Amino acid sequence: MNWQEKINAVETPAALEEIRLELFGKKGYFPAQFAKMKTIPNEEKKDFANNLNKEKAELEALFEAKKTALENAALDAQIEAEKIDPSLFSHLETAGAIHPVMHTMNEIIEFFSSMNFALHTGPLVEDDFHNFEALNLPQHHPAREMQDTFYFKDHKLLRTHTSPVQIRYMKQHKPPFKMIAPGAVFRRDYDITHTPMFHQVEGLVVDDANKVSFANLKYILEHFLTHFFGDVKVRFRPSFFPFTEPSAEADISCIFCGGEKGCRVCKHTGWIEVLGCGMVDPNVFKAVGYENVSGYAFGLGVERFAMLKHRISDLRSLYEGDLDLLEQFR
Amino acid sequence: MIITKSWINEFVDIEKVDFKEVEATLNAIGHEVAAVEAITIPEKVVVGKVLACEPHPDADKLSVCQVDIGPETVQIVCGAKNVREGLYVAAATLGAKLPNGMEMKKVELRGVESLGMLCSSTEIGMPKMNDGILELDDSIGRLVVGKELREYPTLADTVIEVELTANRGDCLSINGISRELCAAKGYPKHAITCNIDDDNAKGIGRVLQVDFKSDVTATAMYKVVESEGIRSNFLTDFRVALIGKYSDCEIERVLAYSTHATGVMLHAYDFDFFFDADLEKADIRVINEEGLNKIKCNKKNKASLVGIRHVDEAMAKSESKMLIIEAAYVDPDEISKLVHDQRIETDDQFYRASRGSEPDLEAGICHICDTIGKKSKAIFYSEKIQNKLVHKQRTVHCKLDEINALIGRSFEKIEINNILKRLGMEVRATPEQNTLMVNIPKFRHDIYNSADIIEEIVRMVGIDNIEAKPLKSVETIAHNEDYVRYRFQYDVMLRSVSQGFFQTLHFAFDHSKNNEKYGLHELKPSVSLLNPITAELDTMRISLIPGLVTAVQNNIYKSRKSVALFEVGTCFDKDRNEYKKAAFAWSGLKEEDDVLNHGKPAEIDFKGFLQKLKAVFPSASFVENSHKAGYIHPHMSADVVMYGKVVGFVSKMHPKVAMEMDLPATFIAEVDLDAMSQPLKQAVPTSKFQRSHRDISVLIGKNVPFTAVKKAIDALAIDELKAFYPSDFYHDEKLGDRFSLTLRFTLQANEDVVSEERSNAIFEMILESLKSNFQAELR
Repeated sequence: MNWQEKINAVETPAALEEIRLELFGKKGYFPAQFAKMKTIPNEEKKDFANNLNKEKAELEALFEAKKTALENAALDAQIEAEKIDPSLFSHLETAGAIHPVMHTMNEIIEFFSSMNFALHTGPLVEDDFHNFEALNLPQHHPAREMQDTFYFKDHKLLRTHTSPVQIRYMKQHKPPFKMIAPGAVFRRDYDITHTPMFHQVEGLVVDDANKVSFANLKYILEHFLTHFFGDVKVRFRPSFFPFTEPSAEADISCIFCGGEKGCRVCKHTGWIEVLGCGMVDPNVFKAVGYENVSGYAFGLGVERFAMLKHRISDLRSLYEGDLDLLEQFR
Repeated sequence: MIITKSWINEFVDIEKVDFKEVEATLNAIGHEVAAVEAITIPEKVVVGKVLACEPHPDADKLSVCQVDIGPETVQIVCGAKNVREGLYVAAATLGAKLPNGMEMKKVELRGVESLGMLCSSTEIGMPKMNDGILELDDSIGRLVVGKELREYPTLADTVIEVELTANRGDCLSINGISRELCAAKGYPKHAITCNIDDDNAKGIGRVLQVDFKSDVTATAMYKVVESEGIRSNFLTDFRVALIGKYSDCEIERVLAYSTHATGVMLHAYDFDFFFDADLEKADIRVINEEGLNKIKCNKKNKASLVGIRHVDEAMAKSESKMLIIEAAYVDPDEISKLVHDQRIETDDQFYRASRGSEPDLEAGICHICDTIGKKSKAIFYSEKIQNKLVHKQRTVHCKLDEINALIGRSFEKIEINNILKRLGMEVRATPEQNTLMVNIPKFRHDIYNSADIIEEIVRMVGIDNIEAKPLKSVETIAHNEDYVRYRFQYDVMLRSVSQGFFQTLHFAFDHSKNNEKYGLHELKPSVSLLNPITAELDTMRISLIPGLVTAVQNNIYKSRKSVALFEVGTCFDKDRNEYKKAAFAWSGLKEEDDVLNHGKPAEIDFKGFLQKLKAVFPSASFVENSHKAGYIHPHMSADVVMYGKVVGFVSKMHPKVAMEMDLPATFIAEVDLDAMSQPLKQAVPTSKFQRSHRDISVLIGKNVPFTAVKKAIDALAIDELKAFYPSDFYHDEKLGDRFSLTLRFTLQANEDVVSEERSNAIFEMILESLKSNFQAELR
């Protein structure tokens, strides 16, 4: 086997190193050959040296090529050995999750904050003036029947809506302003579709007289609802609330049946009611001592928005802390 | 409020209108269509006539009937008590499939062949009516034997549930809804007609006298009818069943029918109750006492209160031979206030009366007499007795430019005039070009001011026809403290989530037994909840922990091995002040079984729990616990301190409580988010020189808390000491009541590298201090 064949046959870096020593080591082939120069006649020396140098260069090149090939093979082998199945680790969840109601509330707050609405919070324990009286709900008003209220022994009550925060805000601030009031509210109602506590976001815009119009209210809510629910149709229906006039309710086309066929969720109407709104009733402005102003207000139920958007079918499940539900919102 | 297509069609001509348009119109003018249901009567259920009816030879309760079903007469065995010869019935013929899944086939019942079934209301998809089989009459349309019932528009009707708003009592009737449809779309309205003939009858004055006192504020109208028995027809019964008012008493059915149709408050009194033998006629006194309009018989004390409640004995019964029919109206705001202020007990009629019943009493009397006359053999006394009150005309002033500004669209005066006229309002000319004076009809008790008028215009124009426009406003600063606080709370939520906690929500209520059980304070009795909804939610929550651990328990019960939950919510102190708190609970394993822990995850421990809390609140430190509650472990617990202030606690759950709740090792924490001040972070100049680290192990008393060690070293005020913290601790029996504490010190100076000399001097100072304070010695 000549040197070329030997180098070609090598399979490991160690065997290659042995050949290097045999060829280029102090006691190797080439030092021995060059040592022969002394004994070679002068006229042959040139040819001998040329041939030897040529052979050495060839073998060196062959050696380097082999070395690189072996190194590459070793690296390939190492890389091959490091192969891992990443799908084994797909379920290493360490994160928890924000509750869908809080997540939804945050999304709503973010929308209105970006539209320069100031966020304002108020107490859960309210008095009759802020929760009812100032909102054009006098004692004998039939609309009070709509709201079954939790009372305390000192005649305070748990707020039945976030609207009292509007009253507090108006008493502290001067128009023009835009504000929202998110938070928990309470009604004495507990069945499949009602919980004694739930969350609302309320909005209020007040400016000079004859400045804020129903057209403005429609503009912001249309944008908000299509932002939140995506590709839906928005419809406004005239309605009635004691604290706004004119009042309206906004519906979106049914997200379950597309609004065309009608289904059980939309009770075959093709529409789902999502929020109430209107122009602030003059009596509300009177109650907070505002004159020559105009404004609109709206209010929505956060649970309802979360349930519709995320297709959560059971309201009460939102208050049970069951990981089977919560884990889906990671 | 239930309406049906065929019923509406009796009041307004919508025969040729697509009913979808009616639905859309109702929505557009503010009467929400909450549900739509088409009544579907199965095919092959036809009008049949019972020609003969014999008892079944072999069964007491069955009858064998020969029933004409049009093309032929078939034999049908029937089990209803009310089957009889001559009766028009709903016959399910062979091949008919009933809603309950039953299919009609030729069968033998106790040896007698039966080719179909005579049906009750519910068997063919109609609401519950009379017991037994249906008894059809021509009120539904001309009865044609063999005609399918589904062919009758009055039966195969479309039923709409309208969600009326609280202010629109005037729409609590078919008549009221029809009036709205006419105003919105200009459909032709039918007048309410009465086909009874009482022209030649005896006058009402011969049998009834009514004395109205001058201070009476209600209006009432009376009619007397004599009958051997009031009968209601099939369509009346069917519709009364549809609106959920079906009663076994036919008078009540007729009253319910005409009240729902016209909106007029109608009642029927028993003539004999008011009969005065001396006068030889009935004697009704209408008086006003303390604002209440009372109807009473002169010789009896008990009085009915108009619009509020009736005296049962005065009302007509099935056996009453003579009835006094009353239509009445009283101002809804007036009685709402009276009932509220005087806390008066009410009956069914109050709902309609307080929302605004129909003031056109004539229409009500006319409708009910017609309904009675259709099926009953009755004699109506001619004329009516009524009082007349001077109607105080309500007038509202409004300005055209205000209307346009509030709606955001420009209307001409003439457009507005036309809209208001269609609504029955009279617009009067004013000298001012810009101002409208609007007379409000009596049935619209809800309209008081110009905002109400604007609402009417918006309804009639349709919100769809108002173009959305952005509000142009001056710039205001929305950023405020509440927003900053909200952002901080949401950041806490996000950080908790990143540490593996799932957010839960609980009602802000609690069971007072929990407070007792855990030794928490109670709401003072003077500020406690008056009307809790359930015994389990009888007080406001003091802490988030009871709710949170109940959720933990439920998850453990559902075979969860690792449960990490948190909640951010409002809690109350004994004076009912509100605090925004965050609470955490971790129970069981540190993580789920997975490939990293080779299926053997460790249990969460106190140190691991502290580490997670520290990741949520990086500036928190933990010192000896000062909190007391039944769920706190007396020794594995700590106060959470932030910027020198105790903001909450962290603890292993007391083993006794954990055991009672069947929980594995569980750790809990609760902090007051409102108490966390966030001082501004201020940087100190950094050094360019190397930092050096040195570890020192000392033997120190087991009961010396690290807090004390830290305090002693801090007191030395060594400039170059950038940081120090415990890096290890160790104890074995040989050390007795001392343990080995390793401290890692980091030294760094701003001007130069800390020299060996200086470094040694510093550690001597530290050791000296530890020795003198705690008798610690170098290990």
